[in-house]
Amino acid sequence: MKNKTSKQDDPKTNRRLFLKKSALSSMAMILGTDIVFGHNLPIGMNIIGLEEVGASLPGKDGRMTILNDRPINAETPPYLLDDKITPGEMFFVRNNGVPPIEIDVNKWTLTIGGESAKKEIVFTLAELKSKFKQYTYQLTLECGGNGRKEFNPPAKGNQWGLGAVGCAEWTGVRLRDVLEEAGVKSDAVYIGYYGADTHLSGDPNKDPISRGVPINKAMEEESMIAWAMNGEDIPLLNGHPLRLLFGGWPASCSGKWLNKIVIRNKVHDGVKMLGQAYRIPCDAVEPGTKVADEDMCIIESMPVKSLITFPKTGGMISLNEELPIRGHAWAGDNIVSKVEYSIDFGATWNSCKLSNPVNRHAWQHFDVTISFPKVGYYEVWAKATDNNGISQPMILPGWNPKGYLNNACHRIAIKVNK
Amino acid sequence: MRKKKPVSFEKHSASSLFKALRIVKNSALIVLCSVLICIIYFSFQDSINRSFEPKPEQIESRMYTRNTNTLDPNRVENGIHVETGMIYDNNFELVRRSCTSCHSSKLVIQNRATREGWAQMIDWMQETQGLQDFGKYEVKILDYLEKNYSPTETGRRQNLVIEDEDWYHVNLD
Repeated sequence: MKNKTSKQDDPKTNRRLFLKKSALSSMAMILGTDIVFGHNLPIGMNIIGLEEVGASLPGKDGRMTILNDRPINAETPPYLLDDKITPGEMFFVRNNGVPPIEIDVNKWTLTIGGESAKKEIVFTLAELKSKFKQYTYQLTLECGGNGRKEFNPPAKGNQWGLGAVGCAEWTGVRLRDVLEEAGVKSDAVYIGYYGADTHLSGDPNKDPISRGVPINKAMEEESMIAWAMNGEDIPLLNGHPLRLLFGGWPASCSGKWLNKIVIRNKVHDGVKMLGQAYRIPCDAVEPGTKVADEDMCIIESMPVKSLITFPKTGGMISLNEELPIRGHAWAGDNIVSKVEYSIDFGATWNSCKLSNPVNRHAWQHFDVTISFPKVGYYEVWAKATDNNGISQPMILPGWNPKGYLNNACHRIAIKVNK
Repeated sequence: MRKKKPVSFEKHSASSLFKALRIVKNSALIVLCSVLICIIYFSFQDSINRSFEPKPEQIESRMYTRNTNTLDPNRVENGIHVETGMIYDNNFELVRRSCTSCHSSKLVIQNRATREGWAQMIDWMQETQGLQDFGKYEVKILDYLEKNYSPTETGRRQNLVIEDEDWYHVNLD
């Protein structure tokens, strides 16, 4: 449904309202459901039709960058990630299919099965909440393709910039406790998930995505099945009413709209586990190389990375002023041991103050106050180092065909005036 | 068996001759016209095809304001088709129809690939996403994509680009 098919008698006076209505209904078509928050949208932040600048997604801040609306993919500009805990409306969205229609939380079930489960078992949401001990963890999720935009030769797919990352506080149960209720056979090597989202083509026999993690990652303390984000229902676009969470691994492992987990006796072979998806060359290749499927290896822990969330790039100060900077750093399964900054294109580096993670896989916060020696154009670069001594590179790291794992230093532009 | 009508041979042959000549003349005219139309069409194929596409309204360059939603989304500004954000060029309508019936135009315009790379993406969509075979139109689709969305050499890192109007004073309070 497009805006121009107005049937209003007086299109001029009704146009704004109509545009809003039609945008909401085209949104509903994309989502396959009515927009829960649609009626709350103030006229000023109308969604005009998702192709327009300033369009907004349901439950999301209007300043997010929408990369794609079918399926919905949106990232958060770094300056909007300044909160220590990423709010729901700022959390990036990477959908592969169409989110489910009409979610009835009272009827939602989660099935645990698969060839390496001792028995198949089905839980309602209420049973999950009452049967198992509940935990709350801050977990960092980052899209495996975050930073893809910088690849040269370019990699196809959503051209993520910097902001396909966030760290929220998730509440739910340990995946391990739930798997053990079904019984994990000794031959288990992997778990795989299925969600209630549907394939873009509408074909009910196709899964949009069905990934997973090795059994040892699944059994970690912070690997969880969550129903709440920051103390509220998880936003619809982020997997309401139930999702998996594996902090520090490509966010595609953390299945949304979760309704089934299979315990596998081999590496899970669901959609986007095979071929080239979420894989990088097992051995590094020259940029632009075609790599055969069998030479591609599954991405596990994400690399060390950081983001300057204050100030926004393009800031100007006076020479007599000092500039406070702050941001977050994370390191996949590891811990960030230091964050440094440079104002001379990496020639010299100085330390920032760095916090410890609240729990494993929570991002850490850094800050520092910078004084500049003279007027002019500067770039402030941030570089994190993990507890293995591995740092972020200053240029695009290992080229790979699908454009994953770009953890090059974040840079912001600053002008110091008289 | 029907009995043959006795007719004068001369009269019959004369009128037949005229009739035959008339048919030949008419046929020749039709063939000539067809050939001419074909020649004209093939010489000006692109411009003729474009003349059947909707004529977008050309508008002067201007800063984006929220009020643009009162304008025709099908217009073209600075060579960009506003509703889709795609470059307005030969075969635009064909590419728009072929691509955006399944996914957002944003997926096209944010990507860069060689002709071969775009062809591989089309193959992938046909193999896994149920995309139709474009037949002879694939060449034109690839012409458009190659011309407008080919990779540029970006090196290992690009400059940080801040537009003049985007520089701001940092609030240090």
